[in-house]
Amino acid sequence: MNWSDTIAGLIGIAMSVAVGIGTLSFPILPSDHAGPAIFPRTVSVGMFICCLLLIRSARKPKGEKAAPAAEEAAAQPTTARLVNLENGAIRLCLAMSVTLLYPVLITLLGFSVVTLLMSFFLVLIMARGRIWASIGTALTLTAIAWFVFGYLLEASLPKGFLF
Amino acid sequence: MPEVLNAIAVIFQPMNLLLITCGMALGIVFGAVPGLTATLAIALLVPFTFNMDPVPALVLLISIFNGGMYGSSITAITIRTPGAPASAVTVLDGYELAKQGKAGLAIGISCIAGTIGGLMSAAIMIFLSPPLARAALAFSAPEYFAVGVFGLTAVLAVSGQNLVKGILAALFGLLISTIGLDPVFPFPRFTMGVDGLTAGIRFLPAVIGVFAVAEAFRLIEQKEVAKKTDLNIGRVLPTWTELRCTLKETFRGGIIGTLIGILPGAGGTIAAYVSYAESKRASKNPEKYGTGCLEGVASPESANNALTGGAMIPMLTLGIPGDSVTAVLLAALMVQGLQPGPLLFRDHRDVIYPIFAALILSNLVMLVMGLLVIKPVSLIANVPPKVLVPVIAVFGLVGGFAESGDVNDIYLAVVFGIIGYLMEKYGFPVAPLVLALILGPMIEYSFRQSLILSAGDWTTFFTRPISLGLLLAGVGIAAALVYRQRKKPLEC
Repeated sequence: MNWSDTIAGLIGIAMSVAVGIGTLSFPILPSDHAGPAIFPRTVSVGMFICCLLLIRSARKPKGEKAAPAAEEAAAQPTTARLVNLENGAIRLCLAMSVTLLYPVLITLLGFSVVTLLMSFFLVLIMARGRIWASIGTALTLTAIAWFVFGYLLEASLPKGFLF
Repeated sequence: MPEVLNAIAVIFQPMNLLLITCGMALGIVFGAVPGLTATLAIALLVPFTFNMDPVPALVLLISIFNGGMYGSSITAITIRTPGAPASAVTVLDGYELAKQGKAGLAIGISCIAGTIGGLMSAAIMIFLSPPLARAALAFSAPEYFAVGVFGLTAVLAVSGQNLVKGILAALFGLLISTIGLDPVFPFPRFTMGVDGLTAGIRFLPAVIGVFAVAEAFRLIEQKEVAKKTDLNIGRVLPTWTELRCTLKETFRGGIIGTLIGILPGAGGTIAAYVSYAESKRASKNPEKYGTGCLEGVASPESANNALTGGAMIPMLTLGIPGDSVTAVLLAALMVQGLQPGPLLFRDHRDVIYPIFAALILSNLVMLVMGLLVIKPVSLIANVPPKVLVPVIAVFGLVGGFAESGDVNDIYLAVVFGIIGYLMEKYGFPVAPLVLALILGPMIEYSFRQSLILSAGDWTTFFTRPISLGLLLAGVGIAAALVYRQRKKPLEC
């Protein structure tokens, strides 16, 4: 059983059902023979069928047809795989949190401060313990980004409410 | 003729020459660094083109496209790590040559073959595009619907080994494309009351998210370190005898690459594999292939560079992107206020002819630059992820909203970055999602317009010869692709 495909299939089914139900509230127009609902509804039906196929194929035993990535992972020693996965997952979660905070904070603190902070944390995540190198890289990158977007391209970069 | 002369004059302006050189250098670097691609380079650079005129903007992006195709062969030859999948087949003979101390010669042949292939495809594009665009001027809604459906067959080709996942990714893209105001009747669909979604999902932040931000996440998780290059390049320029013995394979690769490029979704990987296989089949000494023969480098490299011109034919004339690179190029055209399709040839010849000229000139620049930058580019391929990640993330996120100045676009880029990362992690290809995002609105609008014009007669799609022909061609190509993938899955 391939759990990731099964879960993806179930999410897809939930999404297609939600879309199908959502289209029921769309208006029907006499002049528009197809109407605003037909395209998303057709796509959601196709999605529903594909998700069922995905779940069906995911139920095949692993030994029968394993994905190359899964085969590769299975070949690794268990402890090493767990450690690598954990480290990678933690780095990824931190990075996703930092990038998700970027648009939240940019309107508050402004482009320069938030870009500096994001670059700093991203470099720090990749090269743990090297704080001065991270600060240097972040400062350089923020300066380049401001010069390119703010000065050369004259993009309106948020200044922030606090400044 | 005046337009051609004007195009030559425009392209030789110092700024455009500088942009070609910069674009080529960037493309080569992005192509050479394993994990980075020409698509990523173009996605990151599109925001830089907002304030440019259309011609310089496209000149820059086309040069990146060309440079990226060549750059990926450098690391394929030197460290057996193709910068992009299209150069995977170059490893077979290129790396064998490198082991014999002939890495420079292999890269030199790759550059020359790529240039010849690129020039051939540019010539074919110049002669084929205008008549195709003229024919497309006669298209109405049913034909555009058929063109869109035909373009969607690309999904099957870019789906890799799992068709169901590829189709699901495309359907997801089609669903996302319906968010926002209905194209016929101004009724908001799936906006969930969020004002920012009323105008629909903006394509550029979505593309930047899927390609750039997702790539940053992938690098963060894997923390990959490229193999260090210990170079013994040797001589770069081939002798006349060496060049002559590869010319036939180069020309064959050029034609194969261009023709495959025209097909929706076929891509550089398929072009290179087909060209290599055909070259080996036609050779008097097929046993030489795989042992370090120059023909084995020339043939796939010519084909994957020839793809550039071929892939741009349907993109420019019909507005259908064949793969993810042309999808991003198409987005760049739209950012410039230009709608790719037959009207582009009628109304914007001042843009089209310089594009043709840029494709030719960028190939010539590639010949010179490609031979000069081999060693530095091979070293750049060792750039550590701790430097790449923040650069990609910052330029991706800021670039995503620089055009509109709307912070919502950063949210979009981050959300699509997470979606793109998760899709790739669990084996869902992202290229179908991008193609569907572009083609979705066109398919839906032309479909509904067709039914309005025909008073609800569904046979309108099958009674018009061009529409019927395109639909049948789409079904035929889809069936052939499904059959081929079921029979012998390609390693994409």
